[in-house]
Amino acid sequence: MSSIYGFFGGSHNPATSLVIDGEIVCCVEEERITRIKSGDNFDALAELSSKVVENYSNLKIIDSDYKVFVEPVTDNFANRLSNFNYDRVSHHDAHCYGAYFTSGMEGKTITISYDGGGDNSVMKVYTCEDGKMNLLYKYNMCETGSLSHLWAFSTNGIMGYDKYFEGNWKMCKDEGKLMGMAPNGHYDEKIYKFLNSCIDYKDLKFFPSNTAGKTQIVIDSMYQKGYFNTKTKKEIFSYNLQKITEDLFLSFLNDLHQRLPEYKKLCFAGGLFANVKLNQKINELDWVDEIYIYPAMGDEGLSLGACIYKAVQLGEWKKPKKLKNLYFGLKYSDSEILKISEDFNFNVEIYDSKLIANDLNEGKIIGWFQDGFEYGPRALGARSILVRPTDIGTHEVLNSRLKRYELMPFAPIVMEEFFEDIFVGNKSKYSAEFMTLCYSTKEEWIDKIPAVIQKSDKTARPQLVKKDNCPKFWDILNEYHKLSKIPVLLNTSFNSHNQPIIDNPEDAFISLENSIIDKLVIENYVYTNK
Amino acid sequence: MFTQINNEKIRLNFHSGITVHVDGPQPYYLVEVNEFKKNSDTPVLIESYHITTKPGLGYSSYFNLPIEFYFDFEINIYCFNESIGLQKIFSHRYNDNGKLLKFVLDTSNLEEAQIWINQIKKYQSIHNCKIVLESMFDELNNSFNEKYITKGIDFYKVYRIGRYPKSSSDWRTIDPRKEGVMWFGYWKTFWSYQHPRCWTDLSSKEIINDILCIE
Repeated sequence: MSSIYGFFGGSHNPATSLVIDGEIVCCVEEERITRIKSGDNFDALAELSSKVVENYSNLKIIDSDYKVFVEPVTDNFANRLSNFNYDRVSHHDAHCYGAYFTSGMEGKTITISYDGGGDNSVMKVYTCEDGKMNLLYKYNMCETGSLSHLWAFSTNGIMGYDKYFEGNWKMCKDEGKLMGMAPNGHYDEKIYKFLNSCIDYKDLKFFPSNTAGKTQIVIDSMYQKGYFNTKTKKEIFSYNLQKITEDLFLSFLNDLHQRLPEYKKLCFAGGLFANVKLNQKINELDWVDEIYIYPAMGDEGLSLGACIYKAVQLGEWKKPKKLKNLYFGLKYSDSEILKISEDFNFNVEIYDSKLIANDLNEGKIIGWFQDGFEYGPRALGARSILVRPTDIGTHEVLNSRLKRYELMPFAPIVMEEFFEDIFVGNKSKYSAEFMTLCYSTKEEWIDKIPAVIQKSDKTARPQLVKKDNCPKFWDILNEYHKLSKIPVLLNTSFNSHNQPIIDNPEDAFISLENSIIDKLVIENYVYTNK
Repeated sequence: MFTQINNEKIRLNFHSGITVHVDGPQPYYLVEVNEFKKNSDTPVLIESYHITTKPGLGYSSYFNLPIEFYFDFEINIYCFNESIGLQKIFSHRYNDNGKLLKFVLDTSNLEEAQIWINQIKKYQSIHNCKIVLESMFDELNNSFNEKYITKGIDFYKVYRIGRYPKSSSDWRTIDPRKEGVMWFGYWKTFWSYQHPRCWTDLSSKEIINDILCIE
């Protein structure tokens, strides 16, 4: 059995992962350490995360059995870390292996990666069965259109440029804001046509090539002509961007299904699948039995994908497994936390879930810090902020305290036992454990949990919480349910807007000190300001 | 080469790579260069970027791709049309058949120049083009049968044959397995999927074959 380090860096979302004997030991994104969002720090390497994982695991990179770097590889960095002894794995293979081998899928499965590029391609399609993956299609960047480029350059240009001609919104960072605005818009034939002139689809091919350049000129020209100068116009644009993405990609999937009708399970990775609305539409296709989106779907997930790729090659990861949770980041002991807390002036008491549930029921904003921090873009119960879901007025308070953009929706966490009571559909619940797709909300719940339902289309992006996988998180939901008859809480990431999710206790304490949260539950203690 | 299509005035030249100027009413134009691989009619993207007709918009006022070697390519120019979105307004596929080309030999070594000239003659027979030669050696310059009055002539293409100093790091192939993928810093640019290779250790004949795409 082997120790395998995986690295990705030099582009965006650098990260380091470590797998030993086929088990995930640690995964750390660079942005959690640098405290600069990856979208604001292009070309960064996995410099700090590699050191952090090395220290945390007590296994020096040089002493590990394998060092795997994901394309595009920065050779100098790879040579330095590995002493010229490393493996390369293709960008989309890392995406696809990460997705399929953490999907738990049995039987015939299709795995698709799709993003803005990596090792000269934007997309790969694999047929998979019984732990075997066969490449079906590879789409080269130079010949293929990319929906990811459509989103990247729309995001980059819609708010105009600063004095250095950098987008006021950033690609690989702010796409979610456009997606969040989309439900408030409506179909507009002209806007749709503009976008369609940048990318189209037919017979399993997206075309024309160079969606990046084409989108940029259309968006810049639209900006100049005033197409984005009101909130409503931006919402209309976003709606049509979302619609064309769904129209083209679902056409692709339906055509793929025509060719491979026996494949009804789908795994996805790559930046495109950060789009939870698209994922919802895929999940709702009649012929689809189940979908799974790799929870670290963007390039931050590549380092673990690289480890898995190597472990599969070595026969140490034979079949798709299911992940219990994503708490693969750094953990802090009670004694470490207590020591850090000495620098602050707080009251401290032992954690009691009933008392915290009562606080939540009264409308308090609770910081929630447990276990190792999450791998991937979502806060899933390790670095979360919890609030009752029943009060829409909470949005204003949270947006103000967290300096969030007002149109970014809030997501619910839901006890597994009540998931199907609240949301329409029972497919892909494993993927819902990682908040990777939206569901429509049942009519009778819309008014009960308004703070976590998208106002326009009545959808939500729930995290299904299982007692076995996240016992403490499930317990607080359960206690809140006993008080309120609502098995749901609002869960937002523990960070201020434009900052990465927090890593360490000190950042959590600073949030409490600055009254961003009312109480902080950190491992087995509860802190409040004096 | 100059073309006017509706309100757009387009100037192309292939003297120092590929240069495109556009003058017209739109603030932005997209210039795109695609390559056709051997025996393929599917264009593959090499490079594209925006040019602008107005100052202060953050883009260059012209397009230049400093490719000095032969490859089968097309240039497309697009702009935004408020009725349809992106509109292709111009396309040109490189074709030097019957055209007047100039070859500049940047070497003081007669033996090297002679090797290059043999390959230029081969290029001429393949492409059926007219050639004017400029080198340090008069006897070589006169070695082509045809004589042209070149004063004021706009050559279709100018090839500058030479080699970068071995110490130059202006362009290099970091990963030789990726044929034709050139890198600047950490970001790759696709400069032909077939050419060029790193010239540092190539012979004179290999270099010119690489530049002129002669097997």
